[in-house]
Amino acid sequence: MDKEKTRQLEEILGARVRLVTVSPQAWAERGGRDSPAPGDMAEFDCGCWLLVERSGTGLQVLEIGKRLSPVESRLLCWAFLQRSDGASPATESEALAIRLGEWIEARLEKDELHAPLPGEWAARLNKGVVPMLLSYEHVGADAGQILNVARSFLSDLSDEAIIVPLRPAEWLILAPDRLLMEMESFDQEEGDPDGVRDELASLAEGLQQAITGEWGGDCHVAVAEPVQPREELASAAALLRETMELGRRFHPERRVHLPWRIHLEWLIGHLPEPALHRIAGRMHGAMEPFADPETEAMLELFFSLDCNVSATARRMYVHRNTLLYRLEKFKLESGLDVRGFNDAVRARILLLLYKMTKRK
Amino acid sequence: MAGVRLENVTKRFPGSEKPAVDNFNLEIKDKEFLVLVGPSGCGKSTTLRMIAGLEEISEGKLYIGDRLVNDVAPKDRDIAMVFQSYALYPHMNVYQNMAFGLKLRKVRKDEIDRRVREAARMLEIEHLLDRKPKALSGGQRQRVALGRAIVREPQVFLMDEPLSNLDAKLRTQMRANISKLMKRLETTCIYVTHDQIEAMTMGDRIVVMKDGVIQQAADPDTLYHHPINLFVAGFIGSPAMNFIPGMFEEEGGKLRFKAEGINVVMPEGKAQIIRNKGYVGREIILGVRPEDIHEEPVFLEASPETVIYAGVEVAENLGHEMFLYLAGLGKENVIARVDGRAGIQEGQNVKLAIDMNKVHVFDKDTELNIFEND
Repeated sequence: MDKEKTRQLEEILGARVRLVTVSPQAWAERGGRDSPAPGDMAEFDCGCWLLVERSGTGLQVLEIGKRLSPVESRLLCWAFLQRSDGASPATESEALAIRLGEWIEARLEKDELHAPLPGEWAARLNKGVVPMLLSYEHVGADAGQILNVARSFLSDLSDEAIIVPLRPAEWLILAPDRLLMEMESFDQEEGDPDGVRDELASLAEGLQQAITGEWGGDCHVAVAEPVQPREELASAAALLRETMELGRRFHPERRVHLPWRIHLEWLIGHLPEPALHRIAGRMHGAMEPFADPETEAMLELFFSLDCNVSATARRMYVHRNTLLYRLEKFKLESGLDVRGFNDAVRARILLLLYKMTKRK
Repeated sequence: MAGVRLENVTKRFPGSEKPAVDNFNLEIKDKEFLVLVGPSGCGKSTTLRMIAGLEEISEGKLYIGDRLVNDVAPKDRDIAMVFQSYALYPHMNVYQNMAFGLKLRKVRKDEIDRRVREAARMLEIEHLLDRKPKALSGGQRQRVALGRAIVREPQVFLMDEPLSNLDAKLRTQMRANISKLMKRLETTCIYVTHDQIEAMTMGDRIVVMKDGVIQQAADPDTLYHHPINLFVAGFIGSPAMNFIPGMFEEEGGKLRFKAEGINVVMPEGKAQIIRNKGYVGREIILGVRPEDIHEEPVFLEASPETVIYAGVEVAENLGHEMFLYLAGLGKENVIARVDGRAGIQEGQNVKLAIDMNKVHVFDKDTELNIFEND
């Protein structure tokens, strides 16, 4: 219960109100019934307890500093149960976030990506934000606890980070853009987007590992450059969602997805289905060498390291000559010498086409 | 503190016919420093990730201490991880990075402070606590990643190639630091590496893996001197063991090993085993470590029946020792490790002798070491 609601309740009841945790024994000693359920009351001389929640550490109760009249008691219990039955969010912020999520989904559905934020959010989101998309799937995982990790991760910055639920197991996180200053990105020369992007990638990696390290499961994070939410929120959400979808389709081994690293993937991912099949049909023979998982992995790594033979060999833990031999073998099978620019581009496109068609 | 036990643990990935880890059985003792080593794709990282709770176990049981943890979340397994692709949280300083996991667990502030400062002291990074990751060197970041694990005071440390991103010199230094640290902490540690030198220098016990299966689990000395099969023999040791295909023949009451350019006598003890197991007249693979091929006159005089003659194709002089790449002994080069002062040059023909008491014999079909298997 937030402070405002507590204050309001104190005014109405004319007594002190606070949330405390008590033991089941203490509950019983104060006249509470056995095996209490949320909404039950324990009344005593100078006050009463309303059971809010049972937890591993005890019973969380609302402690009211006076004995209530029967009508007050029943009204309070009724109000509490309405809140529980409706599964309403505990705080106003959470309710706001849910409504914002619904607004964003509606804009995405109608392709209104530059619609301005309505008034109730515009005041709150009047500064730049770093948008991140979090997707987490794990049987038995508690979404609340996953988000607690995310909140703790960002809490050192400020309490201004907003977590907006979108689809099931998907959340849009809006962190204040001044976090880039916290990460000393502004030490970079002005106009150095690479520095900012590297920092954002580190942030996303950190969040992904913080969640996975606690809960395991399949956690994906996409992050975009800062936006002004008033007019760019829906488009940011669309960009992040597309980035994650393309990232998961073309690079299933990755868990962090960055929009500035998926240009060709975007191009191929948007090919109309008939065109895709036509191209794939024409190139079928050329795509056969990619069917070998080791070749696919080798090429992915080679391209990600800017076609640097030495760096690739190091990462593969093989001798440089071994890698050259394998690249030569690929050249004989495919006709493509990926150490040359044009053939490397063609091979990269073929690899992406292969991934698209393999998964259809 | 606790040991770890894996019982018939198997991991199958969807769409893959072969399991990534197949019927893995291992007991890791409390406080043991155990190394999982093998080539890329052998299943060592997958095994570690299953222990961490980052991969589901397809079959089998995993125990940490006495607790079955198959379905326990990573955060509740009382383990701490240091992975190759560790990400320090860029918006937090070193202190906050190390404190983060404890903060999530609602550890008291004074306790967090105590643990962070103690770990920082151990890792000699106290002076870096206010810095952000961006301002740290690679070695310093690695120590912060270690610090993040140490403050958790876990039952088990899990490390997956933590030194891979460091340059060779720093890697050697950090290797020693980690070994020292783990001994001091007296905590079970499971360490994954592809580098057999790292494995041999760090592990109390080493598990060599291939294709998801344990090849051999033993202390470094046993692995080196008593490899159970061809793969382990070839994987452990640098330069790698020489493998020479050939055959045993009886001649004048002695058992001889014959191959291209080689005709040497087996010592009687080993000869008897070869005879008893029926390997006379069968094709086998002889394994000889480079350091068991000698050029010293004393050895040549003492062992005339194990002499070989070869041409030196390449001579790599490292100062204190020299590697000779020999031609004329089978299809592949045989490598000999000799004293750096031997003065042998490329193109020279040399007379060497094999210490046949140290050789290994592998069955050509099963690849098992006939001296180490019944």
